[in-house]
Amino acid sequence: MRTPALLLAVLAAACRPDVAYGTYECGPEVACPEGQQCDEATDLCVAPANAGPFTCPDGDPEPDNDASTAQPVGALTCVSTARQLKSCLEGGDKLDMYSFAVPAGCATSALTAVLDSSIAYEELKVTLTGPDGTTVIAADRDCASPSPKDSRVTRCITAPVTAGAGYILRVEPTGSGDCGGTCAFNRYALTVQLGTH
Amino acid sequence: MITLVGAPAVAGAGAGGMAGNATPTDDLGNAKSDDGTATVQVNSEQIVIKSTPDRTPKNIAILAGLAGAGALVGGLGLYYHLDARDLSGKVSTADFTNRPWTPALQATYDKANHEATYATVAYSIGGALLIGAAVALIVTAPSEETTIIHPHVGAAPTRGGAALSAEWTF
Repeated sequence: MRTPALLLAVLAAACRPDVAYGTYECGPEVACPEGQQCDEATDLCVAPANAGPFTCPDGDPEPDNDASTAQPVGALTCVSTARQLKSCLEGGDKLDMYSFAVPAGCATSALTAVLDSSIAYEELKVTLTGPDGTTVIAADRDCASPSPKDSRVTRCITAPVTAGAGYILRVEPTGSGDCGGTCAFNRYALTVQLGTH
Repeated sequence: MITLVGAPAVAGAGAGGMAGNATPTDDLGNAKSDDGTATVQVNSEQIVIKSTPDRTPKNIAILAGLAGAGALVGGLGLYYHLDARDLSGKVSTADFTNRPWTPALQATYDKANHEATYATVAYSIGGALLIGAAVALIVTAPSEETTIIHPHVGAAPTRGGAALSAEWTF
């Protein structure tokens, strides 16, 4: 009687899902297969013993929460190459500001900003404001082209800008997808580019 | 049912018209029915009939019902097994997928696990029913019945001959 029972158990066990460690990236709100945990350092689902805490390898220069302390994007030309800034919003950090200026003399300039962040942690948004950091000029939207990776979220801004004027890009959490507060952080890459429209 | 094909030649009269045919016999010379359900042992004082009755329709129906239910539930287990295997194939991996673990994958994972559980339960119940049917087949096998017939043979002279009579008691 034990042999058939064992055979049945083996048969039934053979049809259960088997997901190896490190094969999936963390899903929304650090979701992982049963028995695995999100390694917040690499965004991979791993064995719980190997899951590490959130890190910010590219650094998060602070303070940058108001217009006067906004991190400069750097000098841009009228038609610039894409400049990418990597940083993160750690737990408790509710805002990163980046400042840039449109060179004087540029005709019909437009800003293109793309915010790329992980799907695993709190959602982020990017907003274009005036030099005071509070006057909203343009809000972000879903990018026309989908993110190249399912595990990434991209938000885009395309807006006309005035030559010789200064602007602020605000990167901040939306408040959703934060695991009830336990994953209220995210790493991101902000790409800024000036062009014509 | 008892089927008596005939009595052995040595038994002679008293077997009630069963003598004289080519009759299957066992090692002791006893008559046997063709289907092996009855044997007849004859001597001068008694006729012993050993027979195995057929199963009752109710018994057959219960056994068939058990076996049929076992096969049906086992088949259901196979269905769940195959479905769980398909679903598991959609999420199982040993290589890096370059994909996040989404709610849709979690739902597939959960369904595969549930169906694997259903398969296990169905296999267990179906297997138990089949084993139960086999055990019941053995346990409820009709036992051999023995019937002893006592023949009484009488002879009385009559005018110009004799009268022979025979009677049996059970």
